[in-house]
Amino acid sequence: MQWRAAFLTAVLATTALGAGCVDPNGKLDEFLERSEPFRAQVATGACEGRVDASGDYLLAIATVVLPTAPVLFDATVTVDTTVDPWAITVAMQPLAVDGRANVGDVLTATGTVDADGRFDLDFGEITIPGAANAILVGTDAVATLTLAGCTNTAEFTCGTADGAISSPASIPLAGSTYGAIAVDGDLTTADPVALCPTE
Amino acid sequence: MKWLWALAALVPMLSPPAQASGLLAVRFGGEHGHPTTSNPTAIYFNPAGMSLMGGTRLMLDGTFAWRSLTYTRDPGAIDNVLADPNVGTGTPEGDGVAANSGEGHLFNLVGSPFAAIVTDFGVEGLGVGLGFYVPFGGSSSFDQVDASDAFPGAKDGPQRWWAIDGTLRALYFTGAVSYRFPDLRLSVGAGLNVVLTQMATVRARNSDGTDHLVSNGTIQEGRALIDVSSVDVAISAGIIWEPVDGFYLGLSYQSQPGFGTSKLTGDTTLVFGATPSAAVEPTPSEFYNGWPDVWRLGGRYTVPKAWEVRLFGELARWSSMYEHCLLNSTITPRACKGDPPPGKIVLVPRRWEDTFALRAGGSYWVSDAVELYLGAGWDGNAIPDSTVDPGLYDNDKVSVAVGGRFSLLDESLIVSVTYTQLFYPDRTVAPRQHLPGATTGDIASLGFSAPERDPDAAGKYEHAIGVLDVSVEARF
Repeated sequence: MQWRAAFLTAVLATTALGAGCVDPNGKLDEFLERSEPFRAQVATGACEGRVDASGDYLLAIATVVLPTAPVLFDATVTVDTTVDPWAITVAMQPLAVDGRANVGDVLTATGTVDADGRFDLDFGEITIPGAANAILVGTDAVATLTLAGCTNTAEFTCGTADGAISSPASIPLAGSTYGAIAVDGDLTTADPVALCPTE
Repeated sequence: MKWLWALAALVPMLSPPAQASGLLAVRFGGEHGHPTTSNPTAIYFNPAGMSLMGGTRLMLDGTFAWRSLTYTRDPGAIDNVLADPNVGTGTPEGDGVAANSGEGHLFNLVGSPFAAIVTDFGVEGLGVGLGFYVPFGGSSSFDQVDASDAFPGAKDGPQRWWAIDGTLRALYFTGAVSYRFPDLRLSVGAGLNVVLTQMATVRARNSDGTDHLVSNGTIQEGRALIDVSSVDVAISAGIIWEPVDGFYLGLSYQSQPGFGTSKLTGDTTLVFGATPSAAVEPTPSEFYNGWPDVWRLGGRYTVPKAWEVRLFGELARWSSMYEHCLLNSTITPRACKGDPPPGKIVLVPRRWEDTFALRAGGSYWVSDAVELYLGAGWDGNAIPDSTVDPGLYDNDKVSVAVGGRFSLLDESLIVSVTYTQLFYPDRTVAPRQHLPGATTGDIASLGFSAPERDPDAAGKYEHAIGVLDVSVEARF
C-alpha cells in the first residue's frame, strides 16, 4: 500500500535527521591552530662535534606540564673516549625543591655519543620523590624518561626530554626540555637552565 | 557486533538533550510514553504493555528538541588571579579574567529516534518486540565568543573547562517479550537490551585540574579530547494489572547497562601547556561511567474513545554517577581509586543523587478518531551544586505538554504530535572558598580528593528546553 511505503520512507528520513554540528575533533584542531604561535618551538641546538663532557652539572628538566618549575638534579656525566663510539653515562641525583638536598635514588642511563656529539639516554621508569617534584611538591612522580642532546661543550649541554608521567596522573612529556650547566662545588646557588638557547 | 556500529553510524549525531532527571532523555511516545502504555514504546517503559494490544504494530517516533543554555561564570571561581601576567601561574588580571569568566551560550537543535515493531505472531495475549532508541544522553555545542588573542583558548567560551563540543549517549537495541494472562488480568514482560554507549567530547584541561591560563607568560591552558565507546547488556521487566475494566496499574524496571559501572574504551588526546602540536598524539584510554537503573510506577483509567487520566512516577538511581574516571589503558596496574589513582588521566567528581519524577495527564476524545491531551510534570535534580557544570547540567524542572493523537485509515495509522515545554528555574552556584595563600579553590571542604580537582563551575545557569515529539504507528 502506498501509505506504507511513505511510512517506511519517513522512517529512513527521520533516522537521517539530527546530524548536528557537534564536532569535538574539529574544535581541537581549531584550538591547536589558534594556539600554535604560543606553543613551544623546542630548540635542540646544533650538534657541532663531540667533546668529552665529563663532569658535574646542575641538570634541570622543564616539563611541558609546568615549564616554569623545572625538576633539578645533581648530574655526573662520564664519557669514555677510549671506545668508539664514545660511551656516555649520566647519573642524576634528584634535588629537593627546598634547599636542593639529595633526595631519593640516583637515576642512571648509558648511551653512545655520535661523531657530531649527539646522544640519547633512556632512564626507563624513574621515581621523583615528592620533595624534588617541583610541579606538585610533596607528591611522588613516576615517569618514563629519555633525554636527547649534544655534547657540544664541557660547560653546557641541552636538548629534549621525552617519555610520560604515569603517576600522579598520566601525562605525556613530549615537548619537554632539559639543560645542564657545569658546576664546581656548590649546587645550591647555581642558576638552572632548562632549555637550549634560541638562535 | 559490527551491525550495531553500522546502525549507530547511520545516526551520527542523534542525541537528545537531557530533559528529564539527570541525563534521562525519554520523551518518545509523548504523553503516551509511560509504564502502563500499550503502544510500542512499552518496549522501554514497561515491556508488559506490549501484550495489551494484538496484531502487528510498527512505530516510528522522532523527538525534536531545542535547547538553550547560558552559563555566566563568576570571576570569583577563577583559581588564581595574577597581578603580573608574566609572574606566576594563573589567570592574569584584566583580559585574562575576562577570558576566563563571563557568558557562554548554546542554542542547539537536536533529534532523537525511536523505532519499534511489536507483534503477537497470531497468538492471543502474546507480544514480541524489537526496538531502537536513545533513552540516555546529552549533547552540547557551545557558541564561540569574542576574546583576547593573548589567550587562544578563550574563544571557546568560559564554559570550555567543562564543555566545548560533546556528546554522551546510550543507544538501546531491545528485544522484548510479553504475555497477558486474561484470567488474572495480568500482563508480564521482560526485555534484553544491547546498549551502545558513546562519548565524544573536547574540553579545556590542565594537567593539574586548574583553570590556569598562563605560567610565567607561557601558555598553560590545554585541551582533552575523549572519544570512547562501549557495548553493554541491560535487562528490563515489568507487570501491568488491570483490576477492573479500563484501570491499569504498571510497575517496571530497567537495569543499569552493564549492571554497574560501564567501561568505555577508545582514545584520549591531551594537549597540555606548550606541548608542540607535532607531539600531540592520542593515548589509549578507558572511561568509567555509571548509568542509573530506573523504576517506574504508574496508573491510568480509560473510558475508551471518551476520556483517560494518567499518573506515573519514576525513580532514577543517579547516585550511580559517583565520578567520571579516565585512565591510561597502557599503564598496568591502573585504577580509579588510590592516592594517586594509578594511570589516572582525569578524575571528575560527580556525586549525583537519586531523582524522582512525577507526571500527570489526561486525554479527551473529541471524536472516535481524534484524541487531545494535556500533561504536566515535575522532575528532580540529580546534580548537587558542588559538581554541577555546563557540560552535564540538570536542575529541578516543571514540564507542560499538549498534543493530540489522530487515527487515520480506519485506525491502521495513528499519528501523534506532542509539544512539551520544560521550565528550569535559574540556578546560581557560589564560588569555592579560597584558603589564605592558596592558588587554587578549596575542594577538600567539598569532600573531594586532590586527584579530583576540576575547575570551579560557579556562576549562573539559565536553561530551557522545548520538545516536539512526532510519532507514526502503523497497525498491520
